[in-house]
Amino acid sequence: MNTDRNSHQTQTNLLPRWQRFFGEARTRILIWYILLMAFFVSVSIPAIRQRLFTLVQKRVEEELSEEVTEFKEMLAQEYYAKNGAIEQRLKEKYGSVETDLHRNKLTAMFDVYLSRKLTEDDTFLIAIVEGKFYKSSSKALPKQLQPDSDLVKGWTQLSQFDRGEQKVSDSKVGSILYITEPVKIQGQTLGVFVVAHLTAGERQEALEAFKVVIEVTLVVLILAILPAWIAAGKLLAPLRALTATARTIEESDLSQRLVVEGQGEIAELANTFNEMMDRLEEAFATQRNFINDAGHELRTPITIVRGHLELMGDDPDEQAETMALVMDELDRMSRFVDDLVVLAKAEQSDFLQLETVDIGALTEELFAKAKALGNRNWQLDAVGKGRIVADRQRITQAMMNLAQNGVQHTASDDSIAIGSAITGNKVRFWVRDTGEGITPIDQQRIFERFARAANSRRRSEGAGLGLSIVKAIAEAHGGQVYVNSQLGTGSTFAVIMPIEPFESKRYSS
Amino acid sequence: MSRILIAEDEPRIASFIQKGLRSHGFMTAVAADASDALLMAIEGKFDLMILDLGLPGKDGLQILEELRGQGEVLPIIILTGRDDIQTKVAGFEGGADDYLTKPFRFEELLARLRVRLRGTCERTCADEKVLKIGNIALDLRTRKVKVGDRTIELPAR
Repeated sequence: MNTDRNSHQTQTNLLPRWQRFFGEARTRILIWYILLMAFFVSVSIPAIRQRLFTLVQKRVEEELSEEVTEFKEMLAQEYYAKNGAIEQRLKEKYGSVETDLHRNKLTAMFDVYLSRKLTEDDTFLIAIVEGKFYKSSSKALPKQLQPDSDLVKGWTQLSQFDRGEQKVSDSKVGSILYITEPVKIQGQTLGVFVVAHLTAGERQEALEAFKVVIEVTLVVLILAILPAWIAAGKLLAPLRALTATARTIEESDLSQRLVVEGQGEIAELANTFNEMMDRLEEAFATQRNFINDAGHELRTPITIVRGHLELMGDDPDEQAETMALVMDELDRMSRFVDDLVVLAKAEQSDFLQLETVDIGALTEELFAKAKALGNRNWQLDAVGKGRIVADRQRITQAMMNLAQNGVQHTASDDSIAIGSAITGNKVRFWVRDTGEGITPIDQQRIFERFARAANSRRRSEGAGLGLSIVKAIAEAHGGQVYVNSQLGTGSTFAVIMPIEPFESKRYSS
Repeated sequence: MSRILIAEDEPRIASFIQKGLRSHGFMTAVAADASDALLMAIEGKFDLMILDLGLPGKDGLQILEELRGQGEVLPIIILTGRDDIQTKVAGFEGGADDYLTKPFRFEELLARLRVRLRGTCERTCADEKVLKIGNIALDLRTRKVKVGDRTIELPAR
């Protein structure tokens, strides 16, 4: 066993270093952490970018609307105003305010407005009068906003409000956002006021902010790997301690237990492990005791046989006597071995040969067989009616063990009764005697293997395995064996089990 | 003649020990339970006790302890099926003089018994080892009879 484990351990150690490294929970936690963070970054970064751009766009659009609103306000307030800025401009330009030409008045108004306005770098105001480019807020118009560009040509034809975005391949321009406001005077579209904005600058700023976000995120992500590695190690430390302790628990010493610290999964694991060790230790102890007891039980007949043979003389009578004694001891050993085999088999799944059994006939048969066991006042208490699914031979064996037990603990003037009954879905077989009875302490342990009533000597039959065989047979049928006894009055042993042990699962096999 | 107390609950074991010892010139008595064993060991003026640890009534080691506690000095040989070291050590520490596990060879029991008896018996029963009548001498230990120069071996009985 030891060799097995050692070779297994060596095998684990022989795995390549990297393979062991990636097999470790700590590494896997870290890898999952990195994957998760990478996912988080890859999702959030485009989202941040999108959001930043949307914000820029919105701000620009608001600006554009504001420009248009301002223009319209001025148009409304000052176009017909007397002694206003427009009239002054007309005077400057034409020497007289008196003009019927709305065209002139409009150009004057554009002049005034454009001279007043201070626009941002990327914002351009364009005045179009009577379908022709008139003026712009800046001389340095980008190529796309030159009077002969397609965009501007398109605007000159407009007669209603429009807003839009024009993407341009030039990266210095980005795209052009614009709002056009036709100027209508007395129902006629005389001109168009255009506010256009180049987004490239703002986008550039947004992009820079965005780059900072990426940089910081990545740096934090990489920096966080170290604490994550440490944290994973800390979390798993109790597990490693657990493994180390578990490894020190040898088969030869199952009494060691893990130290349970705090609460949570690790403590629960340690607890579960300790509980498992309890069961294992108990199972080992039970087995060791069983083997010890079995060995002890076999030593007695061997001692007797050896001693008597060693001291046998030449006298034929004495020889015959020794021979009979030796044969008797060998029979006892043989029965004992049979019992051991039954107990060992009882733990296997094919222990029972199930069949449908008529319990009335079975009870009669049991009664007839039991009567041959000894000269007692035998009685048939009750005979149940019905059929059960059971192993006929094993039930017979169990009941004969109980009857034999009864014979051993009664005198010839005592009664022993056998009976059976069906109640609900349970069947009950019993053996009742008027013998010496069993003390409450003994009642607790008589079904244990090798248990004998305290102070009793080795009996002629069996080695204290009889009742544990009854118990094993009852349990194999999914039932139990019970004892009810009073000192001086007698005992009743009952085997109670279901009519059909385990549905028909085992029946079919 | 030495008196041996056999404390053994299995009659078939006690019977052959008794038979063998008697044929070698010992006087024997059997105690089948703990209280008998205690009583006889203290009152019975035995020269040696063969003690089974599995007597009904009381654990053999406890019997040993009680005897030694009462200052009983008679040699005690434990004869038991229990062969684990702990029990052996406990037996010797409890005051046993020897320890023999079942199954055993009678010869070995006899040899050990004689060693244990040497201390007590050489003083008291040295002269009893050889019985002489005229020119016939019976050596009780070797079961040899010398008639003049001839030596006759006697069977076990």
